[in-house]
Amino acid sequence: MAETATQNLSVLPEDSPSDDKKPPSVPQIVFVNYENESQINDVMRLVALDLSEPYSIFTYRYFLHRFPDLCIMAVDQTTGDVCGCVVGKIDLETVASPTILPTEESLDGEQSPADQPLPTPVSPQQQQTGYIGMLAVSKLYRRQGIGKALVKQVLQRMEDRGCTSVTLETEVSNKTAQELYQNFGFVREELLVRYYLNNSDAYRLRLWFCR
Amino acid sequence: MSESNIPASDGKDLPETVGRDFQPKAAMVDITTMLKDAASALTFESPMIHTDSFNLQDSMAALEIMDQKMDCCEVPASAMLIEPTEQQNDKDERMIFPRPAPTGLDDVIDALPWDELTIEDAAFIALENVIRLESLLSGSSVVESTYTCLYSHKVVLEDMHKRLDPCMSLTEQMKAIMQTPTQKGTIAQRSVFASTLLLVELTDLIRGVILNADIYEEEDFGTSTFNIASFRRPSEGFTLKIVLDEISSIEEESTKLDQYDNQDAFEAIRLTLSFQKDLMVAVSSLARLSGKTIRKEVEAAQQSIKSAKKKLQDTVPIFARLKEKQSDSVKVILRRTFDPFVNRPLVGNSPVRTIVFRDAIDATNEMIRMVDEVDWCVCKVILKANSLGRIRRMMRPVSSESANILTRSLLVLNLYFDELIFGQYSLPEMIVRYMRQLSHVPDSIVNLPTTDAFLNRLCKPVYDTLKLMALNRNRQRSYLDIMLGDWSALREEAYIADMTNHQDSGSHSELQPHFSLYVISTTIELMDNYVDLGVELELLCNEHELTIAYWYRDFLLSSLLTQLNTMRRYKLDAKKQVHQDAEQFPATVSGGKPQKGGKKKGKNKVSVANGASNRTNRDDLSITPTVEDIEEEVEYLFLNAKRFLCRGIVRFFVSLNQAGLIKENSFDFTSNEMIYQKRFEPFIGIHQPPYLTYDDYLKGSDFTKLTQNNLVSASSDSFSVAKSLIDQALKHMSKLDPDFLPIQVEEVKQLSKVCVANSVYLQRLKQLTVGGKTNAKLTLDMATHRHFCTIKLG
Repeated sequence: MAETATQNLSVLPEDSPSDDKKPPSVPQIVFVNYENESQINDVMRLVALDLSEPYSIFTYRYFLHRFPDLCIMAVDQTTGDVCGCVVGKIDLETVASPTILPTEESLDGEQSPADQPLPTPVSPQQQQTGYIGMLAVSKLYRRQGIGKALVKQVLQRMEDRGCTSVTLETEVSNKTAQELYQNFGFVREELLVRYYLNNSDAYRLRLWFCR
Repeated sequence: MSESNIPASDGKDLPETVGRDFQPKAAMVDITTMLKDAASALTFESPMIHTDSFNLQDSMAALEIMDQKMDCCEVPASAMLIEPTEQQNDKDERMIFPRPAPTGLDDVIDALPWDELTIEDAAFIALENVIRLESLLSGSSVVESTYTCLYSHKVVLEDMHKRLDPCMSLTEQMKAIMQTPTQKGTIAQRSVFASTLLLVELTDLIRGVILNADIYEEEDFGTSTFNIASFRRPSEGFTLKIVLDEISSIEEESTKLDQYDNQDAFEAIRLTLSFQKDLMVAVSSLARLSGKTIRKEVEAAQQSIKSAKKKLQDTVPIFARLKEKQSDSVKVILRRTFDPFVNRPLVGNSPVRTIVFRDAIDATNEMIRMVDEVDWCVCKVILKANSLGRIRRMMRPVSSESANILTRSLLVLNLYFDELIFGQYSLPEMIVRYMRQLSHVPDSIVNLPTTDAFLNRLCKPVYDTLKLMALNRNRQRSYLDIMLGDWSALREEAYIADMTNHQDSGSHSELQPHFSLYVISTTIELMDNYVDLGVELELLCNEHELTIAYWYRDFLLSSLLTQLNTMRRYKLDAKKQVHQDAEQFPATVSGGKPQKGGKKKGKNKVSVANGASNRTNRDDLSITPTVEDIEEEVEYLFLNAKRFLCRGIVRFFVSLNQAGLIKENSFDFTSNEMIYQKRFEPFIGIHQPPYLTYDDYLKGSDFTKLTQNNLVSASSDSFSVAKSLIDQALKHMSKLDPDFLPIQVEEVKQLSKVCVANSVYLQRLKQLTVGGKTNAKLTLDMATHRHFCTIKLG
């Protein structure tokens, strides 16, 4: 299984045009792309251990077949074990753009509100929104920056593919995950009451890319 | 099947996909026809060969080939620990698979307890039914709550009805004509029937109310019935009759008992049935209010609710005693009559949700709380809230306490019907009176046709602001987003109405934009609510976001107070004018005639608009403040206190920043400015108050010119001012009806604690900075008050 994970797979390049696009390095860990079904068991194993929701294989295939480039695995170079993974996708979201305020030149403090130009509404637009479906790091490999590295890489790819924002859900009680994402600039957008099958609540987090 | 019926094949007809070298070991048999015949009998609901009590899922479970993750339609087995017998040492764990839905009392798989039911059994079954009811009201669907009671299934209730109805046979009907029919069945059986009937009746009633009100969200209430059939009552009032007969039967029977003989069990059943009956009567009455007898009906419903609450409270110690001596046979009976997963096959491929039932005491206490809510959230509001200000004040706790969906639905159903608020008050009239209360709109304006037109325009948005308070707390924020757009658009219409009225009234005095002030102040309140909810729901949770939230709230509350001050000034001016006129011209002052306005000269054109009642009202101009004046004054003081609290917290955070105890984050993919823009996006389209940009925030929160000491002192002063305003408001509150308070006493204490605690921690910060320490532990505590944090320094 370890050989399958690394054999003939594209390891993410270390040389990149700019420093902020370079994949983060974690000692002894190499990051590889998801390439085929032979790796699905590694992903399922990691995710099933820690996440509360039971996903069927069809759920994994839905993500991995449609967006293989948004699944990145962390492999221990010395043992060949897959010790972490992130799985994402991209959706089209209809977003109501904010109204455009009149500029300072068009506003006159002496004018009555009736005479002042109204803000111009902009029609709703379809935008690409990234979604991080699963993130898992094996217990033995935690607190080494692997999760942070995986998230950073998948966010970079989503930004490169033209996403305007990225969302995910995480359990209200999962403070570790929330701290990880909030360090990237994710904010809590909505509280989802009784979201999970065990009746626990979730936060929808969102990060807006600067463009 | 025999080989002679089926034609043999020598392999010549094999499909091409089979290799040419294939040699069958035995003669192949063509079963196409057989398969087609078998398949033609299958349906979507029954995809495999099955009987009524054995289907695909059962067979897969029996063979243990279910995969928990692959086959999401699996029916979960529960592990049951069997107590060790004398021969065994360890407990034996067995997997118990849920039974299929019952087909009647004499179900083939496992007949439901009936002949062997005792009074004790009946009491505990009634209690379990209350637990199911509580689960339904807490958001579980009917298949996860009501119909986990096997007696509640339609076929079983029909069976019970047949066995217990004294007039089912012709002979019995003839006997009934001649004499009083005797009751059939035992008390235990009839009690179980009555209790279950009430559970089903209440379920249907509650569903009807909630669906009609249409304010539920998926987390409030599970609406799907999964096509489970409900028992059809033979006539209207059937359930009530059965229950009343049973209650009197129990009362009669219990008087014959020796005081140590099952008295508790009888009393428990009687109280539980009475509770359910009272709740049913109250809810059905509140769901159908109309006509001129509204107040009587609501008062009667209120009595029923109070009675229901009392009865449920009385069951608590009785069931506690019964539980202590609960026999094992009762536990077995309960296991046989309640199954949380019996309806699982109805739900199909949906993943299995954890079905949660509280324990008996928690469920009962929760039920008591929900029943009590119907009294103070619905009955009291309908009976007492006689002005727009009071409706808002009484509905605010409904919102902030997150009242149950049934309660909120009853409130919304009755909010506006027969074209009247609570079926009693004209909404345009209420709006005018409210505006008079705030700013004294003069008669010369109130009676104009444009006023009528604008008031009618205002009705829907004002109604929406009331209905908003009945929504799920979490979802209010998303609806506020939409409402802000509506109110922002109203601002221009309000200004036009003010200008037109000013011209039409022929007044030469300064324009008093009453409608604009009202619309703007309502808009600001909604904006403030939006930010406030973000803090309460902990969507805005770290130091940086909270600083921005409180900074924006400081601005919004200051803007709101500016509008309110203008309105209060208009009212004060009008009062002064009226009393000056009264002193100068005592003979011309009378209750019903419109008076000349403040600075008006010349003709005062007053016209009564079509259909408008005479809206003159001099009471609001009396020098002695009215009760509503004091209520508004208290609300004003609290707004001011909150403004200073926000200011103090912002300055506290800035002090921490200056002291190096908190640092602003920077991000690889986004920025603080982007986050700010997105957070306050709903405000961009609002013209007044103007949208504040991130630059405005940076400038507004830049206190670098102040020393740390001065900043800490400024923050401390803000908390002191807030505290003194709260104390001032408290003095007024003692004179008011608690139901009309803008803020409950408990919350006042919490606000005071926040002021005091933050002041204390400010002193701690002072000590730290003097000592040169920069690594104190910082905790943001929202436990004291959910809207205002206490910043704790360790």
